[in-house]
Amino acid sequence: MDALSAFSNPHKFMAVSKPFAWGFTILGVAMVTWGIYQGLYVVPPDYQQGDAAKIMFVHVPSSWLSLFIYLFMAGASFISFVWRSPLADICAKSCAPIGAVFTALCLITGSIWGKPMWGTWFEWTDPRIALVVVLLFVYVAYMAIWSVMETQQKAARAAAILCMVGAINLPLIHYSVEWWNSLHQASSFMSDKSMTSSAYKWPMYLTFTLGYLSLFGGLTLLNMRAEVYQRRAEMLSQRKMVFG
Amino acid sequence: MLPEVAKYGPYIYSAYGVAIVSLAGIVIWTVIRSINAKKKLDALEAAELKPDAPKAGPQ
Repeated sequence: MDALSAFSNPHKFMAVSKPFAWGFTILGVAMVTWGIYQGLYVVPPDYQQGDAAKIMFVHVPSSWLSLFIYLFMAGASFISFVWRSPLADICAKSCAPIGAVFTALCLITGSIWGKPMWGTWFEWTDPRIALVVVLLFVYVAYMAIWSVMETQQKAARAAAILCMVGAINLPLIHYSVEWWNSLHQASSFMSDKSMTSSAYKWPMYLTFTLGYLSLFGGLTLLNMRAEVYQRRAEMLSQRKMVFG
Repeated sequence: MLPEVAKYGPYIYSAYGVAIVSLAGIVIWTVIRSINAKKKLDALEAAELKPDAPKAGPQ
């Protein structure tokens, strides 16, 4: 509980977060740049999918991140809702645009991969694809709540409720390929049935996953710092209006 | 220079292109937002600290 209260102090957060914010962002940019170079120029074609497997290196980690970021947001929303921690709602709010970008990236790259492999850009009747579209809409709705509510307190409550309720989508996405008939392949990453099987598979997925995670960490911290600055600026403006 | 891919070239370039544009976009947007928010707060704090100008009036 002490650790939680220490973490929820915006002054302490601002004092320690700057080097982590920039460090993780730079590390993430470097790792993703390295991954893109490796994916485009170094990795040989897969024996089953040929060069199309290179798209998987971008697509699969972005799908993991879209779910992970939402789970992280739901945790922060729960803390915000129960303990009314301002830093927790700042944290959840700061994650949302990054999660939305990774979800959109997952859908677009999946669609690009689907055309040559499945013969279709998009399959609305596929449960996993449809549920990931729903996840993107929830991210957008979450951001919309923050921009339309009258006060930050009301927005924080409403956004936290939406985020926690929306978390029901996560197990549905994960198990959709097992529970329903799906064009999307079942989870095969850890099994021998994996569609990409080159020796580069693990290093490439690891590079992109760690790069994306590092970017997520750095950008979230930068967003949180910007939000704290904005709230302080709003407070100063309001004080100026009241006291002159 | 674009890499040589035997097959599926347009799909691979598109997927990596979308990844580069979207990730560069979110990084640039976040960095600019962070810098602008800090600048705005600094300007407000500087205005707050600045002593009032002497008021002109009858002696």
